[in-house]
Amino acid sequence: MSIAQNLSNAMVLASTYILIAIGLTMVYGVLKVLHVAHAGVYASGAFVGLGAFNFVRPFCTPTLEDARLASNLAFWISLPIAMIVSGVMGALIYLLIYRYTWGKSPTISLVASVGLFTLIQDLLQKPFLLGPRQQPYPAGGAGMPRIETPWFMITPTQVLILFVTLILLAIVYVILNRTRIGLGWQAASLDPEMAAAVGVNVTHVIVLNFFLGSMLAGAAGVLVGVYDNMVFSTMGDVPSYKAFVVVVLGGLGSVPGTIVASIVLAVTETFMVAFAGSLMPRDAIAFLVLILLLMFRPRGLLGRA
Amino acid sequence: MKKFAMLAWLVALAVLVVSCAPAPTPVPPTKAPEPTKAPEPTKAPEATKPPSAGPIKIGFFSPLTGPTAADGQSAFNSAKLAVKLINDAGGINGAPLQLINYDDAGKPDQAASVARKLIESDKVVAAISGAYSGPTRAAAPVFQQAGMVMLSAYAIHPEITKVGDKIFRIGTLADVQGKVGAELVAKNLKAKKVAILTIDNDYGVSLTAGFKAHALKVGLEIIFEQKYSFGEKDFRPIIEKIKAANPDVVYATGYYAEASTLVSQAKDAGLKAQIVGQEGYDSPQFIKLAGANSEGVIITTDLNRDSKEAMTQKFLTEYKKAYNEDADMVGASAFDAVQVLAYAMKTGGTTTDGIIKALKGLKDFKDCATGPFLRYTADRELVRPVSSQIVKGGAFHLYQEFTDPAVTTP
Amino acid sequence: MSTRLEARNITKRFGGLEALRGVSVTAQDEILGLIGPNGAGKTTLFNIICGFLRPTSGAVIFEDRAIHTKRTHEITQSGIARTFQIVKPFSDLTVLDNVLAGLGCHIYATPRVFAEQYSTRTTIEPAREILAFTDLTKWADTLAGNLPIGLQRKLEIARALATQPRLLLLDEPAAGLTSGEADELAVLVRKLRAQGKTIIVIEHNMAFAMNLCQRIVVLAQGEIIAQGTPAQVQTDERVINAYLGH
Repeated sequence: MSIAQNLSNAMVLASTYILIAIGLTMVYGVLKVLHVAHAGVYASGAFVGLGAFNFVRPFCTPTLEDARLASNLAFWISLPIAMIVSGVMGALIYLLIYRYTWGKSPTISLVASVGLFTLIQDLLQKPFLLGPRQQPYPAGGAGMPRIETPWFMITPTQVLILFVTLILLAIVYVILNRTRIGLGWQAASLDPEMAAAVGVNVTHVIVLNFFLGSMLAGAAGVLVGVYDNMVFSTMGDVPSYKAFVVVVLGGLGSVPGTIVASIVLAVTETFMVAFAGSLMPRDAIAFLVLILLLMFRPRGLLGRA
Repeated sequence: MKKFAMLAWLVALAVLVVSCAPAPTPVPPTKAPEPTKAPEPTKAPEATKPPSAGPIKIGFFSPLTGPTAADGQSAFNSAKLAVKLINDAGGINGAPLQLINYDDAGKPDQAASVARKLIESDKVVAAISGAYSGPTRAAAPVFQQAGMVMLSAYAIHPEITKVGDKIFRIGTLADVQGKVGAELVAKNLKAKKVAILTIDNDYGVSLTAGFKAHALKVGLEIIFEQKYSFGEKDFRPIIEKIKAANPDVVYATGYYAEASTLVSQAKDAGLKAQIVGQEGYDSPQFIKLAGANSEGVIITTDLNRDSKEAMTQKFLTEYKKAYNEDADMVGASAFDAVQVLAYAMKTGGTTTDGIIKALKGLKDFKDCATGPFLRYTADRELVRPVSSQIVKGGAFHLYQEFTDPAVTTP
Repeated sequence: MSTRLEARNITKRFGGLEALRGVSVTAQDEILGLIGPNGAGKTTLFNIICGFLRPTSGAVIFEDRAIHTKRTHEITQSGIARTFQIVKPFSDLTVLDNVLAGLGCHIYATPRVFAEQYSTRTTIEPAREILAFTDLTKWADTLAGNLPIGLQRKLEIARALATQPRLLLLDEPAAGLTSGEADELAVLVRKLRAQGKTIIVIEHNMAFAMNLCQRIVVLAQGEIIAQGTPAQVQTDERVINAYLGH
């Protein structure tokens, strides 16, 4: 009972790690930049989603008798809005910052990114945006069913997270692996200069890259906000470093590696907390896993040698 | 290339850590909104009063940025409210109070430097900590060495008042509150088996210590114990273990953010045990975030919203009026710290010795939101009632008030 | 013979170093050889033509349009493709996908790239034709990084061809090849010329260049010191002093 339940909980946790970390992996893959401000995009996504949810919900209520239905509808409107705004935000971050720092010392991009992350958090904490307090995001399961088996139970919100993650991963997979822009993206991530020499507009590809990755981060922000029923300005703090652990663990720049690493990390964390108890804080577990892995496999789980 | 990437990553982490360090300059007092701005002394109409040297400055610090900013804002708002009420009623024997406020960002080192600033450049006469236990513990020795009185509003770690004879506390000492928690679990809930969840910081560890010490005496069996980190968002693995252990009660220390997550996830997972918390839960935020999942949760706290005391009700209504939100325990304690300090200055003057003498002589003090305060012990802890509240119909209501000196005396 | 490419009075400085000094080169419908000792500025000239570098002064005219201010991908789309001295295949993509990446050249600027699958019948057929033309068919599904160097050079040419260029820049295509492979390469290049493409070759292998090219330009220390047919160049005294004399 407990092991199956822990596993199913861990898969939901892994889904949130995947959505946050893939954008980082994609940015690293092409630009070789550590995009710390990605965690700021994640928090902003949650903020925009919550704002849209609260704005839309009153309009849904008079037309739909059931308040629950109205809230579900408001959620499904707020999610794409948050994703698009996050995507545009990510694209702007590239166009306004990294485009000019790219090719210079990576430290410059990194410092710019950290500064931007701090700026985003400080802005979010302003009273006219999120303010200092946590805000609830009461979307529940957004109409998803509860799944009960004799071994484990998945709450509607968990079903929602798994469902949205699978759909988004499928979309990104198809774009990156089946379309012509995806091939251009793969080429650019392997060798941007050569990609340009075969006609790929590398700027377009990178903008797309930021858009897709940030869109996923925005979705992650919304889903985590709903899962914890809590949106707050500093919610990007933990993901800002944990997503890096995932990315390095998976092998820098490898999308499948990021997925595997997210699952490994979520499962390890869950079972360490469940069985090793108070031995160490869960964020320390993440770094322990990372250090152990890098000692034996410096290129990460699925990284290129 | 690979090696370089790793290096860059390490730099990233280093930069992250650095970026979390305290801002070099705290918020200057001029930046904080000051509805309490002292009237110019020249404007004071009473010519018969002795010429005062201007407003009486008292120092205040709380976290206005960082993850605990909401509590810091609550405390600051309430302290401002108290100062306003006092000044409206004529101040301290005619001299207005002025609150000098700094942000400690929830960080001990920043609290210590803020304390120095209050003493050296602002020349306050006494100070109030509207901060958590960690920062308060860091600031207390600075005030003690400077020979200045500091009141800890809601930081409840035992070590704070042990720093020295200038440090007093308003909130209920962690040991006492833990003790009351155990008393409540054993006597009121008639439970036998308890699981304990401890937030891994000064606050949680000292509460759990108090709870466990008393649990043995009242015959509770502690069948499960685990710690978790500040800001935890995933209690699910722990809840699975608690379900397997099957306790009657879960005694969980923490603040409202963790608490709302805990009770919601416990409800989701079908945990039946009663959850008992303490004053860290005491915020409208807890009920707002946990929604219906907060129903039935019982906490020990200092603020009894159903109290018949006039000042309690006055504080609750004035706060709501001033800030358009419901007050919480943190705010009530900061309010009371100002009230107690003002009382001490009125009766003993504004010297440290005078304030201390007046505080030691405090008897059955009712001009406060979380009282009545019976007296200070020799260890500068308040003897005061401890309330417990239950969430019912989306609000905190009185569950049981603990006044038995055997339990509540520090 | 119409003028395909004209590099007009190109100067390129890197800080204090003058890599090219007033170089003018014209390519007609021909196989033009670009030779010269190391550091003569040959690859710099290629980099300027294909847009990796901007000239400090001077102009590059391709089919009557100035291209030296355009970006690499735009120049590629306008009909110029190149290979590199150090081969740069997309090593984690298959040989077929490498060619398909080049075949996308003319639609990368349109919204179709989002909607279209890259490996439909209409794109795979031309890709297979290019592989057949360059004799790479049996390696189609191999990861490019796993090919031996000789085949990687062919793949570079195949990928360049996929962009349907009218001007092909080959940077030392015979380097590291056995003499048998070099002969095969010469045959391939002549076939491309026969299809109407203009080809400029940088080459260190003298015999290979003299045999393949119709005309040769000799660069030394950033300046043109001679040009003409292979026979003319071979007997030019300055060339012999600067280059062949070594």
